[in-house]
Amino acid sequence: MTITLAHYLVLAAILLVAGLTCMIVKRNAIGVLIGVELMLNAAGLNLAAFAHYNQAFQLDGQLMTIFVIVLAAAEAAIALAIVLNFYNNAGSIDVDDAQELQG
Amino acid sequence: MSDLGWILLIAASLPLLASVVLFVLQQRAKFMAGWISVGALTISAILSISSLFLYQHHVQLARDQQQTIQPWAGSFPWMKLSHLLYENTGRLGYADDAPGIELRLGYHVDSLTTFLFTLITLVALAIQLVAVRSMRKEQKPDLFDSIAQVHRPGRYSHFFLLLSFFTGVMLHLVLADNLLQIFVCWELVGLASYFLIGFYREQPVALRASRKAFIMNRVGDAGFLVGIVILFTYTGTLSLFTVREEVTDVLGNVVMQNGQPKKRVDQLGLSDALRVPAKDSHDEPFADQGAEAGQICRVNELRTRQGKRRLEVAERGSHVIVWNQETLNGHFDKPMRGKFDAWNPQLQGGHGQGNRTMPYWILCLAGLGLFLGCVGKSAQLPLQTWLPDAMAGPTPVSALVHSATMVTAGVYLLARIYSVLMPEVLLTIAYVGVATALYGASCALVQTDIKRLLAYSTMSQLGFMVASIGVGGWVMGLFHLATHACCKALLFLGTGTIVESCQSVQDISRMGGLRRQMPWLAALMLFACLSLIGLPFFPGWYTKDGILETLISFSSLNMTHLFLFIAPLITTLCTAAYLTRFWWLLFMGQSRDVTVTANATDVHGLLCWPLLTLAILAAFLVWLPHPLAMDGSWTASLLRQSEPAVVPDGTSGLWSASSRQIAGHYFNTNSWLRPLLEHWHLTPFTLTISLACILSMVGIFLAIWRYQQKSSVPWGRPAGTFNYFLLDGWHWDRVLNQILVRPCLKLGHLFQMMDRWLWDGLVHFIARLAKFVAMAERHFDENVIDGFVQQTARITYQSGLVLRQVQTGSLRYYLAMLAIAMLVIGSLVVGIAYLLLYR
Repeated sequence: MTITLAHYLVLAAILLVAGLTCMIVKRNAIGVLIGVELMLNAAGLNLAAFAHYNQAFQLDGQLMTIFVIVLAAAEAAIALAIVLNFYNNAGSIDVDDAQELQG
Repeated sequence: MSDLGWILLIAASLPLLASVVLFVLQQRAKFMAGWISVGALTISAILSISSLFLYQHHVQLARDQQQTIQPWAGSFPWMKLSHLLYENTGRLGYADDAPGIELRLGYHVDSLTTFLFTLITLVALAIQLVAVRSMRKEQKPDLFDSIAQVHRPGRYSHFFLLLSFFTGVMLHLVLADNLLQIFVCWELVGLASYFLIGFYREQPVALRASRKAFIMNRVGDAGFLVGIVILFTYTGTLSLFTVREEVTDVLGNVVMQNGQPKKRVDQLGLSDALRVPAKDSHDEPFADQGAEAGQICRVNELRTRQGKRRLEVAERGSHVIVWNQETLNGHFDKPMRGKFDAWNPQLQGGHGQGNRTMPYWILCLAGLGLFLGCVGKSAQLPLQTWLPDAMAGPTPVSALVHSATMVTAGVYLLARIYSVLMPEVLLTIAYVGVATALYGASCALVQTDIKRLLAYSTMSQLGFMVASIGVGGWVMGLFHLATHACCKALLFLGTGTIVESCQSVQDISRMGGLRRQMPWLAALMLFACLSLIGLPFFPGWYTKDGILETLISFSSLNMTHLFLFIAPLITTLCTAAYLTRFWWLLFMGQSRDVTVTANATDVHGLLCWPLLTLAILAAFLVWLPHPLAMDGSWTASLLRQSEPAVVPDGTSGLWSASSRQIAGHYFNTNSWLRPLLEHWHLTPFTLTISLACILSMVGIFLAIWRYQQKSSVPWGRPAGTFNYFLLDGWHWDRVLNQILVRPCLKLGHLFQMMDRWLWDGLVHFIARLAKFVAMAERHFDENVIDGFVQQTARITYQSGLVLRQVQTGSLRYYLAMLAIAMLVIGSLVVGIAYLLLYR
């Protein structure tokens, strides 16, 4: 059995759904961050798969994937800073405690 | 002679100036107020006396040079009305040079003016000098009015302000040369009188009296105004005197005609507008038909077959010819240009055809209207009742305004407009005058209030003057005015002194026996009383018997008017009786109330001289140059100089007897008296003297006999009906109340009711309607418009409430929603794309 683009895409979709579910279900802010990482990696996997299977996007896809990884690192740094700050203010990292945006 | 005019103008304006000064100073003038007023009046008096002599000097000069006297007159146009006329008639022409109808202001000086000036200023001076003393209690800053029971500040300068104002305006009235100006001054003296009657304005009586005087005078003034308007409408002039100017040619030389300077009429007088012009430089118009110069020319208007107008002189014609400047300048045959032709479409030129006419009855109406003004001002029947009430004012006011000067203005007016008055009007005047004289004398018989008694006496004497003018005794009427002014002022000032020294009591029945305490005053007042009674050689005798003689002569020629002879004789009897009673009750017998008379002291010092001066003035008026001069006395000849030419010959010749032609040809000339007189070898003069003397004596003795026997005061039974009838002035006020005042009030009440029910009802209905509409509109506003707005707000709010449920603030919820939304949108996009691409 050869591994086709569809396999990658399905894997990416599973990753994305897993990430999303993780974000929705986890109340811990760190868990939410992990979900975010999963989703970003799903996107990066997608991009890398497209780059591999489509000659026209070979370079672009890889470049974008690297960009996503860099972005994920920056995002994780900022998000961790926010989480730390939130912990300082609220005394927990439960995202359900942060409901100031309630209308 | 223009100096004379200026002198009198200054003399008349000085008291006005004094009143202005007092108006500015108000109470700051303090005791100086009296002296400011008196000072101005003194200068006026000196100027007046000098003008009298100056005038006589001019007259003498003119007589020496065989010239006619040209009285001083000066006037200037005040308002030009001709442009109105031109606009109305649609004619072309420039208003400025059109021969215009204009109102003029001007002054006219003749012997009557100078004489009255001297009289008024001297009498006023005497009265003001007394007032300086008798009003001095007004100087206090805090004064107790015992009648009104209130404290008030004294009004010393206010009093002299009014008195000065009155004097100034009165002098201007005498100086005025046209009816309009006289009317203006007439109203102003009325105003001053109103203020002075109501001087004690805290007393309700004074207020009522002033209001009454004012309203009754307005009734008369309405008639005056009607007369003025009629005369102005038909003659286009209100001037009393014609002013002629010498005609000059282009080089400025005087044009001579028949050795005399040719003269041109500059200002048309009323007399010349209504009476046939004299024959001088031209033919007399209508002479061929029997019209005489100086007469009223009555005509019938006829139409010729061509439709032209023709005037025919007739003794009882329906119209009177009105002359204008053109005709007086001799242009009879020219069609009249200027002011009247626009009104008169029949002007065709030709002899007599261009003359404007006015209906005779309207001329009579004008005369009656002017006389009504006199009736109001001079307190004649039926407008007389304000005069006794006017005594509520201070005594100097009663002396000056309501006996010596203002009330005689009516007589002065009659004298000035004599030539406008038609025989019928003159007869009315005579009857009213005689009736008033009788009325006043009868009421004075029983009065117990000392000032009311004198007021009724004044009314009676005014009646004599008016009657005298009415029957043609022009000079005598004015002469009596002068002697009466002096004597009555003297009586009033004496009365004022007595009242002041008797605890302000005015009731004659509580006085008596005052001759011991005030012998000087008793003597002076006896002189004045006897003078007014008319005992021989007292001042009043000359004038009153002159009037009686005129009346007797008149009624001797007209048997139907016998009343004009009988009534004055009864009046003479009454006059003697009430004046004797007055004097006797004051000075003779014993005091009837010691508390009142205990502190009475005689006149002295400052007060004595004015009274003495008045007595001397009265005497000198008739005794100069010597007591038997009679007709030739200086005053009589002075007055005769300004007598209008139309006063019938002989009537004014005081003591010239027998044949008189009175009131012109209008009345019957068959004398019923003459055979009787010839039978007893009497003349009207001797008949009058003897009758009047006998009646006066009878009156005096009746009064003395009555009050020697009983000391009770009322003449008849104390509570008698007749006595009360006279005391109440013939119930005249009640009658007026019943027939005039009450209907007026009723009418006013009716109008008030109408106002209240009809007009107020209408207004209220409209208001209610507006209120209802406003309510409806409010409901609409509140329910519909506000409801819409609020409902919108509510919907918005509710939807907001619903929609906010979505905003939970929970991160996980948001993500779940995001995921679901993406899933839905993604499946939709994929589904639609699938459908679009593959179906």
